[in-house]
Amino acid sequence: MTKILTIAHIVWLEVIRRKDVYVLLVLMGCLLATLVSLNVFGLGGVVSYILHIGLLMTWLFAWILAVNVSARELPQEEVRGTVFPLLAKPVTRLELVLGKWLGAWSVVTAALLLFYALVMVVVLARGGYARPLVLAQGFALHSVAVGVMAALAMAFSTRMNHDAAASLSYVVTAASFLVVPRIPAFIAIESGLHANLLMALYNLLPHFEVFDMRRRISFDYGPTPWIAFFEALAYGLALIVFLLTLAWLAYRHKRFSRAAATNL
Amino acid sequence: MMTVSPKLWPWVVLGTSAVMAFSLSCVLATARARESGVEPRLAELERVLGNSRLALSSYFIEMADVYFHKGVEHVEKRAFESGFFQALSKDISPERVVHMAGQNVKEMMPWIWLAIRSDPHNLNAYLVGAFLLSREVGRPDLAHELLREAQYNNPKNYEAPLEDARVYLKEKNTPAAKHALDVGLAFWPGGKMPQEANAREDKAALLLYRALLNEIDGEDDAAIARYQEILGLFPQRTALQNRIDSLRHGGQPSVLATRLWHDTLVNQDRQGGICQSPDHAEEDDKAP
Repeated sequence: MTKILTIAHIVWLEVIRRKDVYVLLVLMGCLLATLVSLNVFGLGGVVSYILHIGLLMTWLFAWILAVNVSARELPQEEVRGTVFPLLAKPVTRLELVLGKWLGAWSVVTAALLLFYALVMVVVLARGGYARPLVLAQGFALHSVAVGVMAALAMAFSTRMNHDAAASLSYVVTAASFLVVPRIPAFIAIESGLHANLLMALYNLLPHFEVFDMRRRISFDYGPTPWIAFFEALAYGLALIVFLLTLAWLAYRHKRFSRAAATNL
Repeated sequence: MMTVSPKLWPWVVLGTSAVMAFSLSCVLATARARESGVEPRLAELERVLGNSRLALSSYFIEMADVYFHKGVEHVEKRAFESGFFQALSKDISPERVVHMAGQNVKEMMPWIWLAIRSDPHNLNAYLVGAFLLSREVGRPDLAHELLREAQYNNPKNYEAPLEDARVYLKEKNTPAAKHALDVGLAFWPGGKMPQEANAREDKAALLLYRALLNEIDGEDDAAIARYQEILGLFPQRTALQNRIDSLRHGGQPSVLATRLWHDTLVNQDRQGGICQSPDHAEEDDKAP
């Protein structure tokens, strides 16, 4: 466990050094400042749109950060050649994968907390409100979604370079978010092979819509029923375990080439 | 002092030239727009967004509609409704349709504002905005301002004066309502074909309100002429013939003009406020 935490700590230091999070935080701040400055027909007390767009940007930025950070970790070690001394130590490949994932997930979750805090500060300053329990539930499920994205990107990065792993992760996660929830509607107008293919996609791809509580938060629907909340949590954890297992299986017999490492 | 590597000079020159060319084209487009009387802001929007602003404006109107339905989008017909993921998704993000009402409706206004800024020729955005401001948010003054802007950006339309007249009638400001109705009648049919169903209905509304105001001022002949014009458009509205006959004989119509205009406004507001979406029934409009 210590080795996993140490590897995760190194991921933190790397992300802090790279300043990705600061750039996104500044972008979020600029966007929120622009939204706040809008004079909407001279009406005061209009604040839902700030919460809605702020949460949308939070999802977008967390997605970018999760995929980028996770897809980079393992290929970076190989390209720099640091994977050799790392694996020469008594660190198993499973510990390496878990440590990298834990580092990526925890740093993105910390960034997520900052994004949520920034949005809520602006909303509260404008006289808006969101129920703390609903926010807490929304944050928890969002964190699990980020964990799934990180695990997916990590799985791809065990066998691809950073760019390929990131691109494929973006495509799969975008399709999962935008297309998968609409597949039942597509199947209603399709039949035969097309319908079967769509059904296969529906069952194979992750369902990110079950982690998305933005509607409840923005429109004050109240907290999610606890049974549904824990079901979503369990689904997310099961996905993470499955993807990390795939990552480990892909990584455990991978051969590393010193020639590839020196060709920077 | 900062120095630039010699290898980079061509790129620096190219980049600087591109920025200068773009800046100059913006200035020239703005100047040209001012000369031809087009709002410079519109010219800048055209340059930056092109025709995508039309799609953007429609998207923002759709977002306003989503807000009206408290975040629930129009639900498409699905091949199956039961299933673990669908049930879980409905628990996480409710799909029961509930309408916003009263002061909460002002939360829709930013999206209307964005729709108008994206496409100042999107008349529907102005009309929806004015309706919500006057009826739901209780700010008829802002509704008048918005409709003035609609008229400025869409000079020969009649819809904005018609809506303006409705707002003035609700405020019982009859002189301003008369002026707005006269403007509407002068500009009708605006950009529509005269035989279009909506255009004919709107003309009938303009004539009806104007005729009722004529009646109140004792201008019975003008009122009769307008009622006859409505009958020319819609011969089946036989109640108007009774009204004409009462006025011709110098009597009082059975429904007073003030009452009729009030009832007409209420009916039209009710029609405008009803959600036409087939996705939900009346009983779904209760809060969860």
